[in-house]
Amino acid sequence: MTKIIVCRCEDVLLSDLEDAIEGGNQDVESLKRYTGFGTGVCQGKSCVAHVGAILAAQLESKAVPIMPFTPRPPVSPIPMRLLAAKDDTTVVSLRGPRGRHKGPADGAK
Amino acid sequence: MSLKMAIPPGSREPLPAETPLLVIGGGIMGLATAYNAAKLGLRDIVVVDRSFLCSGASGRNGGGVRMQWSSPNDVELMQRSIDICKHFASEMGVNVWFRQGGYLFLVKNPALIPALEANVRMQNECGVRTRMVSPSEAAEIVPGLNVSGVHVGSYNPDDGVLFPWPFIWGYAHKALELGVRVYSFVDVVGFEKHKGGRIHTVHTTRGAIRVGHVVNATGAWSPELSAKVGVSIPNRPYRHEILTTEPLKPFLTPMVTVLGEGIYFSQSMRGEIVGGMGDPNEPQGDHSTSSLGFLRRFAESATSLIPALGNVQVVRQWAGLYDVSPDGKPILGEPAAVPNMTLLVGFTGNGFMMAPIIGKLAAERIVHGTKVPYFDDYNPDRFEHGIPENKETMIIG
Repeated sequence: MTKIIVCRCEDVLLSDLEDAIEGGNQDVESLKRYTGFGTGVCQGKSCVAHVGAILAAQLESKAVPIMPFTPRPPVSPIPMRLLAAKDDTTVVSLRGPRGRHKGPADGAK
Repeated sequence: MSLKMAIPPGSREPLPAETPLLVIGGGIMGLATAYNAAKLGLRDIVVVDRSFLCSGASGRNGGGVRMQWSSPNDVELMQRSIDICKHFASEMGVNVWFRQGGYLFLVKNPALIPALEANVRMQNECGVRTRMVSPSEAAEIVPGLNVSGVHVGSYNPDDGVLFPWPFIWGYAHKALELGVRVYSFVDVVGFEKHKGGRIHTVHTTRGAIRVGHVVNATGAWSPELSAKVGVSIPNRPYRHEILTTEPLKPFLTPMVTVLGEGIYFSQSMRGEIVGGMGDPNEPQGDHSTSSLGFLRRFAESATSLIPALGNVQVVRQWAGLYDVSPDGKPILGEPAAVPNMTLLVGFTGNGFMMAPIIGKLAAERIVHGTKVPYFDDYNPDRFEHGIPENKETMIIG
């Protein structure tokens, strides 16, 4: 049998979601609590839109607005040692490895 | 897990015209009460919740269950609750990831030692296997624990953790199987009473329903709901924040907490470190937003206790509400002014773990009129002459 994985962090299958919707979980927040989708490392970034589409398709004519679940901080995973750091230079260096921001040395210019 | 629900909680069906028992609040307390009442033979029970199931504190807590308390009542209640947890998965047909790894209370403030020792003696008299542990014993229980500043600890190997969400689904599913009707997204807007104070009709956003008995299991929102029926209760909502990390290989056996400092964390069966930390400066209020300040306070405290956690990544934070009672003990039973409304509130951060036994006792009381001594001790009218002196002091967070 082919298995289609919708949430790759938590291994939630399309069939899990379809069963959950049929079982009465007809909003995205309930589906998250019922199946655990969106609770892994990506926090739903790669799956919540798919789940919304699956819910819309299965509810068909029942035309209720479909909302994503409440996004939770942090935007991406952060090691505790950086959060625990008391001096702000360490917090600034959080941005360094991503390449989108200048590191603390450049920022000091 | 696939549970087929007769009337899906998310349905838009109208409420029935009447019910012998309306449970307001579809959290674990309300669902456990409805399930147990149905099991005792009561039919046509209705549960309403203003949001989705798991939306309140039942879906937001750290999943700890423990027998270490300062009040014998609380110890006994939790012994019985943990007994129910042990059999929950097989009885309810759902995996709740229950694991008895113990709770380790650490003491850094020496002033707290005598009371902890007295509490451990009392717990032992109740039959709980708590023992005092030295810092080096604590470090054996928790590899990598930094015990500098730790004077002593207490450890009960039979305390544990579970995953709250499937616990809710277990109760919801079995309640539905027994004919309970569960309606989410239904809010209560008002009550109609007889002259003697008994409620006869409850008005909701989905119409009116005639009732025989009402349970108020709305946790942090219960003062607001009680006010609508003219009952003033002294419990109040306070935000508490919590987080979870990436999953790790199992290494942490117990829930770790520092007495009086608010921090607690454990490793779930999914491998994540789940932990929170109360803030003594948190103002009263029912908002549940997340703050960077909490992340920093928690990370500082957790990495000072276990330095190796420094490299562990936080993936999600959220907040929920403690339903704080003035003496740290629950508010249970019927207020004199409204004899057919049972309050199951004021659990001060401990409602989830107490719900399995409270739901059972409340159902016996409502369906069979069974006398439950805990309900006398924790009656809602006990605050009439001020706050009782004997407070529950082993509150975490």
